[in-house]
Formats: sequence, C-alpha cells, structure tokens
Amino acid sequence: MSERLSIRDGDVDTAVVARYERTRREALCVGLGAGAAVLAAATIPALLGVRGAFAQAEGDVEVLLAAIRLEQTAVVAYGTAASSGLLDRPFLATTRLLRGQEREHADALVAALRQLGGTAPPAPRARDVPGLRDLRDQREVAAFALELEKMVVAAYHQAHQKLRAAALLRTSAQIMANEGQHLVLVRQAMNRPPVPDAFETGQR
Amino acid sequence: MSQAPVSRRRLLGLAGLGLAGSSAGMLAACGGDKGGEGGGGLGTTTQIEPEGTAASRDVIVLNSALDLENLAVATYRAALPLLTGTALSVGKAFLEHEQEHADALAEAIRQLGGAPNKPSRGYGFPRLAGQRAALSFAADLEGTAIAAYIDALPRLTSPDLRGTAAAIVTDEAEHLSVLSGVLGRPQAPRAFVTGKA
Repeated sequence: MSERLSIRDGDVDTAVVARYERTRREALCVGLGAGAAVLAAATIPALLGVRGAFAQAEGDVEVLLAAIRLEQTAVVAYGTAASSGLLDRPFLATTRLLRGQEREHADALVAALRQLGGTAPPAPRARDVPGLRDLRDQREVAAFALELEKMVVAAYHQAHQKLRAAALLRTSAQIMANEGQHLVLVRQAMNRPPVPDAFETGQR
Repeated sequence: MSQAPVSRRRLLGLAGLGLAGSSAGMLAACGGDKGGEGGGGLGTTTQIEPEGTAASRDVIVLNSALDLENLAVATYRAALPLLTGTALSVGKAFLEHEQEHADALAEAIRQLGGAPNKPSRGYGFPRLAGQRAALSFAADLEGTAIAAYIDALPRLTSPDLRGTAAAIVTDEAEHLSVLSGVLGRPQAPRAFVTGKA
C-alpha cells in the first residue's frame, strides 16, 4: 500500500510537515501503528482527540461519555466508507456489519449513561471527522478501519482499569471482544495475520 | 469427539470446574449459563463471593481462569493431529496463545503469593472424529472461556489484572471468530460477545 505522505523521522522543513510529524509520533505513542501513515494527515488529530478524551476520563460517567464519542465516530466513519463507492461487495458487507454493531454499542452505552443521570453527546457528522472523505480506495479505507479498531480496542482495554460498576465492566468486555472480532475481519481483508498476539490490546 | 455442540457443563467439568463452592468452582459458577441460554446450561446464575483479602480473592479467580486455559492447551494439543493446512496453522497459533495465557496467569498468581493450579493429568476428551469436529469443539471451548472471563472480570480487584483479563478475553473472541470462519459460520454474529450460544 503506497503512502500518501511519507515522512521519515528527523528534521522537518515546514510548519505543516512538523505538525504532521508531531501528530504521527503522538499517534504511534497511543497505539496507532505505522499504518496510520497512509491516512490523510488531517484525520489523525480527530481520532487522537477522541482517544485522548478516553485516556483522560475518570469515573464511570466520564468513561461512558468517551466511549460513546468513540463509538459514534466509528459509526460515522463506517457510514462514510459504506457510501463512498470505493468498496467491493464483500468489504462493503463487512463495513455495514461493523457500522451496525458500533451503533448497537453506542445505543447501549447511551442507555447506561442515562441510567447514571448523564446526557449523551450529539453524534458527530462526517465533516466533523476531517480527512475521512479523503480516503481514495478500499486499501486506504481498510487501513483506516484497522487503525480505528485498534484505537477502540486500546481504549476499552484502558477502560477496564477505570470502570467501577460490575455491569459496566461486563458490557465493556463484551464490546471489546466484539471490537477484537472486527479486527479479525479487517486484518483478513488486508491479508494480515488475524490474531497476531495472545493478548489483544490494540497495539498491532 | 462429537460434532454436536458440547455443553458448557461438560467443558467446565473437563476443566475440573464443576463443583460450585470450591475455589475452582467460582469461575464456573460465574460463567455458567443463565436459564435457557447456551448449549448445556448450568441452570444457575449463582455467584460465589470468595472470602479473604483482595489478593487472595484475585488468586481464586485467576486459578479458575488458569484451569480453563490449561484445558484449552490440552484441547488444541489433542486437536492438532486431526488438522491440516490452514486449520493446522490456526491450531498451532492458538495453542501458543493459550499457553501464553496460562503462563501469564500462573505468574500473576505467584506474584500475589498464591500457588498456580497444575494442569489435569487427563481431561477425558470425547472421541475425536475429524477436523471439523475438532474445530467445533475448540470453538465451544472458546465460547465457554469467553463467558467465564466476562462474568469473572468484575470480581478482580486489581485494575491491572482486569486489563489483562480483558486482553485475554478479546483474544479468545478473536480465536472464536477465526474458528467460526473456518467452519463457515458468521465471524462476528453479535455486537456483544458473551460466549453463549
């Protein structure tokens, strides 16, 4: 898969490139792998923003809010990909499946949040996720999906160390397990090993 | 080994997790089928709260998980001679994963001052009838492990151990997805993976 923007570590020439390079390094730090380099540069900060909210969340309500934002972003991303016209029939079916399941996650989390007295954030629109519409072909969409799912798994992995309510921990585990299955589908679509590690933390 | 779904009770029995109230039985009780769900059904949702310190409670949960991982290692070892091609590659990889889980759980138990349970000398597996039956049996086992981990995870008092359990249960869900694909079944049939049929 060719990289749209290839930047090696080292000196940079322009402020734009410097910003991208900084963002890419931040991405690597939070678990977005080398495949993130194929993403439109503007997309990464949006994903990082959602992921960052998760990392900073404390307490069940904050973790739920962050998880909802993450799931909503995934719904928008898969919805945009599904309507892009870039996907062949099998991967389109996968994308629709993933979108539907992310929506189910979001709905369940919103219900849990309401039970705790919280209010769900408004769902983002495609234009709220910069760069999403810049994906050019199925390979880029698949690479984006891989990074997205890895980020989601990493976020839920972190959530298990923060959540307190037993019911929420169980729901979170059920969702994280499903996100792992999404990773399997995406990795297989990319001809990658479907289960590369014994402990799935969203790192590869 | 029969191709029919193996009951959760049977699998838990193979792991020595059949006696509710024993230390090894806690995870079995936690992961048991709720009424009407699953292939075999313990028919109870009884949850046994172990007594003792937080560390000792974690050791009990971890040892129950270790029993299941040891069963999984034995299952894949028994299945390998029946597998060929892609299925064999899958079986070998998953055997390594299950052994890594068992090793990590044993180490965590030692760090908490506990003694890791040892694998059973024999699990009394049903007769293996071929590749498909072996994969189906492994898939049933993965489902049982997923259900047990998800129900037991909130009982772990250590946040780090909860993270480890989440990483393992997600790996088991990925195993189940791959096995389901090889068996021609949907690979992500539900948005919430419970491990129950």
